[in-house]
This record gives sequence, C-alpha cells and structure tokens, in this order.
Amino acid sequence: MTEHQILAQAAGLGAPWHEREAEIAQAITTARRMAEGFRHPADERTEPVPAFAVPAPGGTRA
Amino acid sequence: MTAAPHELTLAEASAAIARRRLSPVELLDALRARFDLLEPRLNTAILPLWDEARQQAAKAARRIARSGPRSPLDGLPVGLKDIIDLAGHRTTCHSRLLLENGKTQDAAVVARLRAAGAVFPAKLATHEFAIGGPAFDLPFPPARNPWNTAHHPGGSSSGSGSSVAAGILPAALGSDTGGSVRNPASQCGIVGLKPTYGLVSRRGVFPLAYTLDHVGPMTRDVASNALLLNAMAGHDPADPGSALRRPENYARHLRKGLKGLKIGYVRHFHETDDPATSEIAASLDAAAKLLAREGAVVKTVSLPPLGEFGAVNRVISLAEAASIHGRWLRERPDGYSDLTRKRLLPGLFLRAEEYVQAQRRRRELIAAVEDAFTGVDLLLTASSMDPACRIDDPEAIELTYPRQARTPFNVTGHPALTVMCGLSKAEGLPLALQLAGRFFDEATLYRAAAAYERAAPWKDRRPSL
Repeated sequence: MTEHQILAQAAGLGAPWHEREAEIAQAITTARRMAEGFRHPADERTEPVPAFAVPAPGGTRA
Repeated sequence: MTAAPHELTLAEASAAIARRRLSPVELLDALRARFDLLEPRLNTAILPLWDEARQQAAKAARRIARSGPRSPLDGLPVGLKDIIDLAGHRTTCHSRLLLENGKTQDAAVVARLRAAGAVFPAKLATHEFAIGGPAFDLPFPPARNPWNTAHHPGGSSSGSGSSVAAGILPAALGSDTGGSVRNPASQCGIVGLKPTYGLVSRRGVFPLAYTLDHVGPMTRDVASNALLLNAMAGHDPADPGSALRRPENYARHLRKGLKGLKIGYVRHFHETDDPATSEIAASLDAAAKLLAREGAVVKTVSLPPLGEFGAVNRVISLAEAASIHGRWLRERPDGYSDLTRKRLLPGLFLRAEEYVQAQRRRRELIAAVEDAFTGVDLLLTASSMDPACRIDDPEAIELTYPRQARTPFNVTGHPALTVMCGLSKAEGLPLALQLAGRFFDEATLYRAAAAYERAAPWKDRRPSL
C-alpha cells in the first residue's frame, strides 16, 4: 500500500472513494500545508482555547 | 414618504410603519414585485415564502393598527440564510444531501425575531454548508452580485448579501465562520456585522465549525444593523457557546460621533502581509483620514501576521467541520458539490495534535489582539484585498479565501463590522473597510461606523439594476 492509501484507510475512506486517488492526494497535501501554516507554540504551558470559551468583557478570552 | 418602499432601509421602514405612513403589507408587496423582477438574474432565494410572509405582514398590520408596533421590527421582512431553521420549512444548506431536511422549530435567533414581529419572505442562497461555493453542480444556482451579475457576490452568505444590496429585502441574516457575513457585505456594498462570539445564539443554525461560528445581521446601513442586532442578541442556555449577557441597546451611541475614540490602523495586513489592490489600499487610507478629520485619533498598530490567523482558522474550521461531515464524506461523497468535497476533505487528514496546536496558537493570537485593545478602542483593517471577482473564474474564487482580513476576528471572537468605503474605477464594484472592537462593545463599533457612513459619500450608492 502507498502512504496515501494507508492515510485514506485510516481516515475511513472506503469503497465510495475508490477511483478518487487524485482528490485524496490533494487533500493530504493541503492538510499538511495547513498544519505548517502557523507557528506552533514552543512553551509547553500554552494551553489551547477551550472548546466554548465565551469571552469576558475587559479581559482576555482565553 | 418620497422613496419607493424597496429603497427604504430597515430603520427607515420601521419609522414609516410606526408613523402609519407605510403598512407592512404595502412594503412586502413592493419587495415581492422587486423579487419577481430581479430574481431571474440574481438567484438570491432557495425557498421563496412570500405568501406566508404576506399573511404574517397582514397580521402585523392589524396589530399595529390596533395598538401600535410590538417592536421596531414589527411587520418588517428579514431574509434567512438557508442554514438557519424556520419552523415548517426545510433547511437545505444549499445541498442535495439535505433536500428533505424539514424543520419543526425556529432557530433561536429566528424565534427572537418572530417574537419582535419580523416576517420571513425567503430562505436564501449560501455556499453549500457555508463552505462550498459558488458551485454550479448543486440543485440551486449560486447567487449573483447585483452590482454586476457576472461577478461573485461573496460568500458564504451570498443570497443574503445580494438580496439586501438589490433592494429585494431590507435585511437578512448570515453566518460567519471565516468571514461569511462580512465578505458578501463587502462585495455587495452593504453593512455586515460579525458579533462577539457568544452574543447571538447559534441553536438551530447548521454548524460549520463550533468554536468559530457566528450569526450576524446584514443591512443597507449601520442604524438598521444595530436595530436588528438589538432583537437578535441574548443569552440562550441551549447554545453552549452563548454568553450570559443582559440585552442592551446597541444603537445608543449612533449619533455620538468620533471625538474621543482611538482607532488603531492595522496597515500591515493589506500593505505587506497580503497586499491589497492599490485602489483598496487608497480607499482605506482615505477612510483613515476621514475618521481622523471627524475627530478620532488614528494611529498605526501591529498585530501578528495575517497569515497566522488564516492558517489557525483553517485548521480549526476544517477539523471541526470534519467532525460534522465525516460520515457523509465517507459514505456519500457524491452528495456534495465537487468544490465542497474538495474544501472539506483535508479536515479528515488533520491530526489531533495539529488541531490542538492551532487552538494553542489561537490563545496567543487572542492575547495579542487584546493587548492592542489596551491602547485603542477600535481597529481599522481591510476586509477583502480585491473587489468581487467574476463568478466563473475558479482561480480568482479560491483567492477570496486567503486574500482577506476577516478571519482574525473569528479566531479571536472580537466583534467586527464591514462598511462600504469606495467603488472600483474599472468595474464600479464596492470596496469595503472593516472595524473591529472590544468584546461585547458592538455599540462603539456602530458609533464609529455610523459616523463614517455620515461623513463618507457611499451610503446611498446602490447598484443600478
């Protein structure tokens, strides 16, 4: 199996996606480019924004 | 009353109805005639509901004759992007996957508007699931720009932007996950607001990305936008992202002017990060000068690079969208348009770590914008870096996603509003600026936008159809 086939299988893309290798390859490339598009915080104490962080006026949201 | 009913803004129509110089039925009939005339060229609606709206308007008219308007919105028409539920009708999300998606309950924001007396003449075109468009392989055609029907009206709230700019409706609701209220507002020359995250309930609105989704008002002027937000905002315990806020009058500072306000001009977004056309850059500089002349203190401020906001927005939105669309993507890929499938599919290949890293970076970006607001009351930025492109130019359409400065405020949750600030010389298409404010300070946003609108020559410019 190619790397793309393994990734597609891991993503759950089965029979309806046969014959769509080009679309899958493009999506994998796009996903990789997106993930590298911003600086990843180096400080391990940087916590993510919680899923539903409603902002508070006059203070930081996170 | 000298203006034709379809030329009235929402606020003007409200005042005319309150003074008994216009009846909701008369207004609705005029708008329906406008719709019948223009819809074949604009494709704004997925589900026209004029007969039902006329019954609602007649009921409002009887109520108003009896005891006066229930609210400033009594009897006034508001269009709904077709990802927003309206009881008794389907919500298609402009997709063949949801052609039979009937709804029995209003979205929370629709229920609030209905209680205020608003009527709902149409469910409006969108990009499929608020992400895939404009597309030509769907059950409904894409909406067109009323300034030039060969051009894209912006998305994803395309029908909302087009119908309001064309005078078919005085107001509409859109949703905004990466700029989808403010993009069509900018490209169609109207006013669009993305409220503070949590101010307007999203219950009953089909999600694209939970932590970035907002519902916002789209109108032809600032006062009308504030009027509509007044009725839309409010806590909803059934929306986990809803803020516990007391209702307030967002129109209270509309006449206050700019004296005493400090505005930070974020030039690097459109000058160096992703350079705008020279016309747009010049229109923004002219707007900054006008704001200063009207009494604001305008100074240049810096934020993190625009591309950082965009990348964080894309990773979060596609990862969250994959959690919503994953099953359909896997089992029914042909149910989507080619464009929607292409846009959604990368979300299945993002790793959990990358989603969390984006949410970590998001926290830093929020802090950076909050830091900027310690020195200024508002931020002035570009909205789009280009005027509306042709609707049949897929390469130019793709560029509308990165070449804009709206996503920063989806990432941070701050309120942001776009208003017209020029017309392109070559094609006469609208140009727009964006103002962003502190959390829950929509009243100051409206104050500055209204002052700009009064001082600038663009408010009454409309497409000639």
